[in-house]
Amino acid sequence: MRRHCFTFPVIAAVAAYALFTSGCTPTYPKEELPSAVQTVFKEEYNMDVEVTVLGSTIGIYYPMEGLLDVGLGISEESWDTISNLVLVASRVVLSTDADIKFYCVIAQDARLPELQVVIIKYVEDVKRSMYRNISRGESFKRTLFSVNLTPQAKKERSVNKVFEKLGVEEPTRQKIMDEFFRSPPTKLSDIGYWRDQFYIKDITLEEFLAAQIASRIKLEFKGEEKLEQAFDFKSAEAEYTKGPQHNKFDLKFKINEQKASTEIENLKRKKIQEILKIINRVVYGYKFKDFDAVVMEDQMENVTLSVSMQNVYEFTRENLPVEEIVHTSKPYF
Amino acid sequence: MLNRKIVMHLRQNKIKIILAAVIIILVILSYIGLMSLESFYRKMTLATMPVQFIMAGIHAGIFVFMYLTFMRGGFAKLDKAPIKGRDVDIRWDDVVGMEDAKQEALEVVQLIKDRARVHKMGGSVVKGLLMLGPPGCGKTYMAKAIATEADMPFISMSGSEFVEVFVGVGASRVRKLFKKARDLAYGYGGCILFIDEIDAIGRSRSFSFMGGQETNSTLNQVLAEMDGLKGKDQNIVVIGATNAHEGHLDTALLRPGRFDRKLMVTKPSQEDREKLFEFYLSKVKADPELDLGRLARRAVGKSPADIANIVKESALIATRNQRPEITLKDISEAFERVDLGIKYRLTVTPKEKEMTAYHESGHLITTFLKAPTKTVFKASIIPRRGALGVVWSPEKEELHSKSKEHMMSEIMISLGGYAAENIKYGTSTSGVSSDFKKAMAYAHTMVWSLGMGDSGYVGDYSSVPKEELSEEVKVALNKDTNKLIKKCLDETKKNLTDHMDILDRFSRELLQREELEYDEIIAIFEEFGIKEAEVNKEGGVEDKEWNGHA
Repeated sequence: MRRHCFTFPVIAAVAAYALFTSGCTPTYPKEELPSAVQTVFKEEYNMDVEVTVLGSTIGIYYPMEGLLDVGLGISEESWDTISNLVLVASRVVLSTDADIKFYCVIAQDARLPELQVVIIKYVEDVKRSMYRNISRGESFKRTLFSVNLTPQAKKERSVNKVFEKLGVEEPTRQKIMDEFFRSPPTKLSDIGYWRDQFYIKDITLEEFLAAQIASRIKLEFKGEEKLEQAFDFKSAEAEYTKGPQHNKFDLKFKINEQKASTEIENLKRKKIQEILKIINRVVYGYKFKDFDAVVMEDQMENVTLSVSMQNVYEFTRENLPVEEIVHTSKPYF
Repeated sequence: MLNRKIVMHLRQNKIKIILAAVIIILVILSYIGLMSLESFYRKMTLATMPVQFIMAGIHAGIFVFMYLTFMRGGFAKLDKAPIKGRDVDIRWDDVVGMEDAKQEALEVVQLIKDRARVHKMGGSVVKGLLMLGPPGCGKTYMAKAIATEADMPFISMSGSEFVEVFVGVGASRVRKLFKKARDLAYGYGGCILFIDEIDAIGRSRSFSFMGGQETNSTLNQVLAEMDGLKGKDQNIVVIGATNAHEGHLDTALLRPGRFDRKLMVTKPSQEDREKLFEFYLSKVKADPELDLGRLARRAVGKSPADIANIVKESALIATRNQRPEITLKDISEAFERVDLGIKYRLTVTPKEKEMTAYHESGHLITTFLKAPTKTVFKASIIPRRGALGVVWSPEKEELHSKSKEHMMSEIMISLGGYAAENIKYGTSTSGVSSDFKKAMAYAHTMVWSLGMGDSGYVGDYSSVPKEELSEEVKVALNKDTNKLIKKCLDETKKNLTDHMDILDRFSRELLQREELEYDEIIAIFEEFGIKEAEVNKEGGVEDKEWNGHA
């Protein structure tokens, strides 16, 4: 009788153990991560990719046919391939025990490798998106997406021009190139793939956030109808600077006001307000507080504006007027 | 040998083994399924599993509820559990105070019990018994006693339990009820089905499109089922009970073969009331010297339920007064409480109080002098049940028919208050409204229905639709009604004017004491040389035991 009493609990315990331990084994162990990723791409999508892992960043490169259309834009059919690349990258980074924080997908047109598409995602964002903790729109805004000239190609082309002028022979050129000009990138914008080699860096959250701020400013000022009508967006760049005493975000932007001169002051205020809102959203979204200030340089006006971390956080919550929280190098508003 | 043991063990634990196998297979399948997922999705699935289990449980609960409610009868479901006759435990001897009805019911019980003998003689057993009578007379009690005596399963339902807003639900419940009764009759040799307040489903069917379809279909089903009983020859006896008049029930329900017997369970007679008092007082601690005959005479027109209530109230009053047993005083107080209601203190002006005193004195004197069949037990100007005063004057004995003079005396009693106010103050108050209603109702019935008017119109004119009556007739009848009222009022006024000194005296006494008891009332009348009329020597006109709660 007693034996029967224990039968069910024992079966239930074994079943529960089996089920719950099944979740513990990673699908893509860190030792086999690059090869595992290649296998997935090959088996599921018949795609030959190259994979590299640098610190907590994984890079996936895929050369494809017809990435670009005749207008040098991304062709319609390429979007599916890019989506698959991102999807598999997401799956892999989520199901591995390797300490991967960022993934970087690089796609190039096999015919024109000088142009590339780079997508950088933060793994935590991918998880939060899966858990519906952030919206799809927000997830999209947190993704760094760029179509640019392959930085290394650009660099080598300039160097090659010099070599040509100097009459340096090919073997020597390659030797010099390897020695002096093929070093790992120091900035996110230098990430790429050139001549069978990854130019990738171990991405940090700080630089990712700086790049995201610049990316979001571009998205807002070029995508939001009212802002687009009021402003002419030229460029925005941001980087994170770690100093001996102070850490800060350095933001440089060229954004012109398009309205009549009488409204310019209002528009300037509006511009800074929008930029601060974006910065607030980014740092607040990641609860990032390892900075003392945000230094903004309006390159059209040659004015430097700075805002403290505390004001960046309290700006939207307290509805503070920009004039009060922004310190300017010369009269601005 | 070992093989046999294994086989035996497997057979004995068949369900457990199947259940275990199913669980193991499900676990293996789940394991395989989970392992086919990438670790992140696996973790996500496992993380959400507890919530999914809870949700599955909730969904299963909702499904089971919906299934039980809608798919398996739901609204038409019958929760009536049958009770075995002996468990009802209402003995035949417990049925007191309805001797005539009891005799008839006993005959029915004998027929149910001797079913075989009745069949042998070629007769058929009673299939239905309809108990008619006013509320509180013990119809349900009688039905229970029948069940106990016949020792058969007893299913009790109220007519209103069949009534539902959805057409067909009532009929469905009837089918289920009779099916259950048939099953029980098959198993126990008989079943008693008691439908209380049968008028809820048994009233005359209406054949219009304005509703009533549900009631019609329910009644049709009852009729069909009761006919069906004959065909299958099952020993099911349907007992119906209603307070409604027989005429309100559908004729199809009353025809022989359905409710073969009709049992009138009326208000108890003098003898019955004595037995009822004896029965209920035997259950409490009461003064053994209590004269039950006098209590019974005092309780004219009371139902068994009223008598039970009076005894219960007496017990409460005795307890409150810290008496070891119920005395006549407690019963007297209980009578008052039941008949008059509880006193409540209402602030009235002295003028109002005085007018009320004259008003009630008018009623009192008119009752005493013009209604010899009544005993004036009490007059009071303490507010009760929304009235500022009351004269308590029950009949000395139950009357089954009322003479013209008796009815006129009722009108005069009603007008007594108005007459007194008029004589004394030359005006009247709103306190006469209910008196007038009662007087008009009497006068109208006397003239319109009982041929007691002076114009010579004899017949029940109220049964003729108003539009079919000529204006001449209506005018004549209304004139007669008015004349009757006027005549009664004149006589009341004359009577009170002739006894103005008594009216003043009673008013003074009431203002002073607020309440006058029987002996005080009689004493005052005797002061003026008037003695109470002796209608029935045994009826208690001289019943002084009620005096001042003895």
